[in-house]
Amino acid sequence: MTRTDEELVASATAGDLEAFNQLVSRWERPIYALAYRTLGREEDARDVVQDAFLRAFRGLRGFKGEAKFSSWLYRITLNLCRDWIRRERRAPIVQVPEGTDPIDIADDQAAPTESVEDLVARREMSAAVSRAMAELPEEQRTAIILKEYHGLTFQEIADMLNCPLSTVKTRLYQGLSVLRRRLERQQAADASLRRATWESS
Amino acid sequence: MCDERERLLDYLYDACDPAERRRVDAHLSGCETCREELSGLRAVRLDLQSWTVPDRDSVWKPFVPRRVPSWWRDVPAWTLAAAASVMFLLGMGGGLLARLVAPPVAVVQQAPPVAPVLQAAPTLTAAQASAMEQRVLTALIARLDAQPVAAHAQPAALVLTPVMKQQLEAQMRALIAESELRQRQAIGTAMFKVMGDADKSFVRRAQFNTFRNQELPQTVQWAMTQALMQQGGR
Repeated sequence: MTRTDEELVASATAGDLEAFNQLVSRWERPIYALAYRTLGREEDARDVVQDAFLRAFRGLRGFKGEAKFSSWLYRITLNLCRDWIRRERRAPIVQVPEGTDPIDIADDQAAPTESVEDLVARREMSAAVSRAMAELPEEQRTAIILKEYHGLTFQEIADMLNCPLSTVKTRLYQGLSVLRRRLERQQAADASLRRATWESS
Repeated sequence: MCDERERLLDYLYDACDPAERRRVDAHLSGCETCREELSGLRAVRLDLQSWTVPDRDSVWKPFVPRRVPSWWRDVPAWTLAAAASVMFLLGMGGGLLARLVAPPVAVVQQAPPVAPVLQAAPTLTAAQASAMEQRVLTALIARLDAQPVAAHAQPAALVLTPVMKQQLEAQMRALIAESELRQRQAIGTAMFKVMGDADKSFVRRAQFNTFRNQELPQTVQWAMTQALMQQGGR
């Protein structure tokens, strides 16, 4: 039977290290995704994930269960990401995925039905989204990440970021609107480039 | 509605109740601007899903419960060797003390009838002792002759000739020597076993390094040699 987060936290607090290992294995992937999308670079995301779990382990006794364990873990991770951004004094890095050559990525198709062209388009869109997100203000980016990729409710985001519900919605709406304009411009530029290439050939 | 982004956002993320949803649906059917806005936001949400996170191995090294270290791992090797030496010396000292306190003569004294005679005249000459023995023997025989047959078992065995005394002493010394040898071997074996149980690496060091480098006391080396020889002989 799968144990709940709360049960595992109680066991880990009582000294059961294996229980904490299970919590890590359950939440490592989402925490890594959160750090990666916030910081934009794998190495930094890995460091933040390690640090986040270490801090969580040290602070287990201070976790009173008022919020969900995952929310508490997200908050730790976001604070670490914020510290990292302030320490580095720069915006998140845009890390373009490797292997944009269609031949190289032919083996990396998500589904057998996905054509190489679709895969290339998906990679390009992923890079475009990554760039556009990196240019957003930190508050808007965080709100979008928590809502779109982690499925948190508006209230959970408000509690986590310690701000009013309306502020969360405003940040989310503004962020999505900016992204929309940038991505539309990007798509228009890509389309004109493809057209020019096709006409010249 | 057109100025209320919050309600449109709730609608976009399906976070409004059915009544609210119906109201928004009714508004959208008559508002081109809001329909376009909603369509644009849905498109952005779709684009956002293309942003994938690279697959990577776990960055977390799972906690492993720490082994409780054996108490003797905190004790330096030299302390164990010293303790073994003390044990051996105590055994050795006990053996020597027993030998000094209880010499062969004292054992002979325990032979009931004859011992008092020997102890009473330790400086007698052989002729005098022989004459005294003869007198005692004559008296005993006369007394025995006067007693019933059932009491005849004791006297003959109580007479010790000089040759018998020498043989008895020699046997006693041999027994004591054999006992001491067994004691040394037992101490050496026990000490070696304790050290082996404590730490196999220590035993190796003790056998091939410390022992070879003559850092242990002579007595300990001797005991270890005996123990090794015994083990090899099995």
